[in-house]
Amino acid sequence: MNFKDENNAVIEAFLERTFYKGFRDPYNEKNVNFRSMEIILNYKCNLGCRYCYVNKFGDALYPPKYQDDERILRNLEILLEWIKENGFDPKLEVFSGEIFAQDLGFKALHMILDKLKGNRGNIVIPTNFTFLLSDALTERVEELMVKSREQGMRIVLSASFDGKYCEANRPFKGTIEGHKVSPGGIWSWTYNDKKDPRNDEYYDRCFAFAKKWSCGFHPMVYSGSIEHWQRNFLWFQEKYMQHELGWKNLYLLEVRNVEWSTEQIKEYCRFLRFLIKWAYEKCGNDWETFKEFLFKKKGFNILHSALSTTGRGMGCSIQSTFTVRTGDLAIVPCHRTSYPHLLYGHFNVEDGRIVGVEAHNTELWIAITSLTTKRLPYCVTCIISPLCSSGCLGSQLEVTGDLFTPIPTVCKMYHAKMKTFIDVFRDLGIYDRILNSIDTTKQKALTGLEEIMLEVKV
Amino acid sequence: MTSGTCPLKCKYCYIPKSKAMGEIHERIEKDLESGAFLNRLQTVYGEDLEHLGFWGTEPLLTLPLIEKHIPELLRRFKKLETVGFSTSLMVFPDRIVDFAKALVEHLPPNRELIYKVQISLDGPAFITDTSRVKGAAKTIPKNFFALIEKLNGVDLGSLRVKFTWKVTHTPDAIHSLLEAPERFDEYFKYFDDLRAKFIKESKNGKVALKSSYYPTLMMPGKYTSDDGKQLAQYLREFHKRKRFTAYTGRLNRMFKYNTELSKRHTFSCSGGDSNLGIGEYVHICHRTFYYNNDNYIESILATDIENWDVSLFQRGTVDHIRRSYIVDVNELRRFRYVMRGYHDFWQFQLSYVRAMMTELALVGQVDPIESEEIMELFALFINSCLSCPMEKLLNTGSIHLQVVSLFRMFGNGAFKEILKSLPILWEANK
Repeated sequence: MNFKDENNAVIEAFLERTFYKGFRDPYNEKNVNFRSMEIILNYKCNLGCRYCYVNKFGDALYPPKYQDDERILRNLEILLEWIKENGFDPKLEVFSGEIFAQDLGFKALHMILDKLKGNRGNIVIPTNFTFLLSDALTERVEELMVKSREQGMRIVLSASFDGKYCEANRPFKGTIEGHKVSPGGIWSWTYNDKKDPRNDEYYDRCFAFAKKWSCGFHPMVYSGSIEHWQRNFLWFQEKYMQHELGWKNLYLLEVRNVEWSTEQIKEYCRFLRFLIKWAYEKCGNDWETFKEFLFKKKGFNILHSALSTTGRGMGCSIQSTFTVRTGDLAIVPCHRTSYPHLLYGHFNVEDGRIVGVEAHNTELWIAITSLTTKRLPYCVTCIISPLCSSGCLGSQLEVTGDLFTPIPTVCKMYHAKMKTFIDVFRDLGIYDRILNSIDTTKQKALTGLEEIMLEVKV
Repeated sequence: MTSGTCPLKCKYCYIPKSKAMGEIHERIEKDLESGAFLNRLQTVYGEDLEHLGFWGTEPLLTLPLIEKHIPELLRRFKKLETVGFSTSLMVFPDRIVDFAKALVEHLPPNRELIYKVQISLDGPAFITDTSRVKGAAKTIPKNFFALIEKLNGVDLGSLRVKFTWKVTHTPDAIHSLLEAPERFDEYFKYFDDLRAKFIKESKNGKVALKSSYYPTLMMPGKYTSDDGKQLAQYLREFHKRKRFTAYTGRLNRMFKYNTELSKRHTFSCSGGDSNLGIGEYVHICHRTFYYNNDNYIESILATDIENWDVSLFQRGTVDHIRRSYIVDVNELRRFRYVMRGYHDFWQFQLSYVRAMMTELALVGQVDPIESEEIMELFALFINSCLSCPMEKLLNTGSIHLQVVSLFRMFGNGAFKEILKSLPILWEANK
């Protein structure tokens, strides 16, 4: 075997043992880390979110020459045939810029449902919910939802939606200076009059839709507009109550970009302080109820992630997801790191059929799959590493030039977050109980940080 | 960076050659003539520069241009301990003597300086003439002894001149040696004879030739597990004769200074750490000197040269290197932060080796992992004795990830041979 063949052999064997096994037997708990496949359609979106990597680096992550609808659909069909042929039933995530802002998205989803009839894995789709601005599009989305349920392969929508008071971070592309939006086509709504159409009536439609189809919300907690987050959170809760959605059903995640200023970190800590106290009060100031919210119900994610342990080396799903970019059938680490020099490999296609995988970056593939963030440079000696959700590899690459080197401002934000946890849990008189509910490594990290805080307190 | 072109086209050179290099060389010549390079050195190092090496392609091409700036060089960098370069010694050998004379002339009294000259020579004709150019195995020693004779007549004052042989072996060389094992003896004799001749002919006490001529492998290389098995055999032949390669020396260093292992930078390449490549911009090392030249990159991408490095000249990789690892002085803070991470923290790199070895062992591309201890030693060895951040960057997009090629090369018996050679070395050193 030559160098290339040997690399391919390593990857084939690795995939057989991990993802292919997981795709064949997805309901076996042993395969829990290897049963998800993410299909990236394209990076076309109608929003130009200020923190979004697709908005900033989309063309580098997914070269425009591959973002051709016909090509994507042709390759998707090949991929689906391969899934079927191999008896795979992965949990699917279909990713794009905004899937429902383009005809391609609907075609692709219908194709998935038709080709994989009989499969039972859910299809998770992140969407910005702007389709709800159009009755016609909403009808098309609902048609899909019905079809998927009838087939037993449920489409689950996850709302990438930040809330009324943080909408400034998520402007429509047509409203941003410098963004050119062609009329019609996939941009079936463009607001060239610069007026944002997302009004109270629209938001009510979003929550009603979420209630009807059991959608989750995953707002991003970004440094920009961070001072509005308390108000924004209360607005979410008001809407939840109005639409009879459970108050715990909110997945918050910090944007781990470089932009966090000291002032914004302080604002974030103020929000966290409020959030913990609000949740504790909501739990009737009762430790057991709060404990259940924090650990079992995952404390809005943002309160839970530091205190719980995942079964992987990284907090995000990069290690447990097999990600395919349809435009060129490339296998990429994740949608955030699909830069040309980081491609894991690609599918080899002969006569319209996938015949194997060709490895491009065997080293990175094995390294990312096996890595534990606590061992990364700098993190390895950091006191809060057992508590830290760790940085986003893609963001780290863009800022530091290295996937594995943390961004100092993100480190600062996480340190401040942990300090806030200690302060607030102490204020509430539950700090010792928290310590007794987490594993010893995390305990040591928290108490170590606490010692430093006490020593340097002025 | 003091040169941009080379008269040779050595098989193993990591610098893909193209016509665009002529233009680069002209720019470098102008830069050297103007003395602007001194300002850049001072911006990066202040007055603290201790070691200065001239890199690029063939340094002898531009040595006279640097000669003119020796007074200024010595004035600005008072802590300078060594000046040196690596040469093929195929062209302008006299320039080495002229440069030595110029150094002596301007070296203040009582100030010591070492002038280091590394000469690329791979062994007898069946190796050197194949990997470099026909006749090189004779021409290089001839040029060397001619300059030794000239140095015999020079009063070097407080300057010392140190020569070393730089021996590189390609897979072809390894194959050729293994095909007829008596060639190993021929190889050793070749260098031993040169050594004996040097002792006989060198009369200047300030001139030295390093006695060892440890070969290293051609890096980079697209090595397979079969290449690794050949390397193990090749090393066995060395050790049988109580001879060593650079790898035994490096592993020995790891054992000798094992209490210092927490300071990873003590053992790895100093590129991007205490050592930087300075051209118009700052580089990790000389390896990327021409990568920020658009014409050069375009010309390489357009060639069909059969060369490992060319195969790594993919747009994405080169763009990544240009964006993040060839930097302006204003960006040094980020650059140093990332490179410190590489040099000072190696837990991630060690655990990655374990994961990769497990995968390779599962498909029979390396020997089965015998014990935790050996695995640990192997991980330390491959991350320190064989660590090249540029090679990693070019192959994997990350400075942290050792290339799979080297796992196959050293994981198929070679590492064990090196380990077994340590007691032989210790015995020989007694």
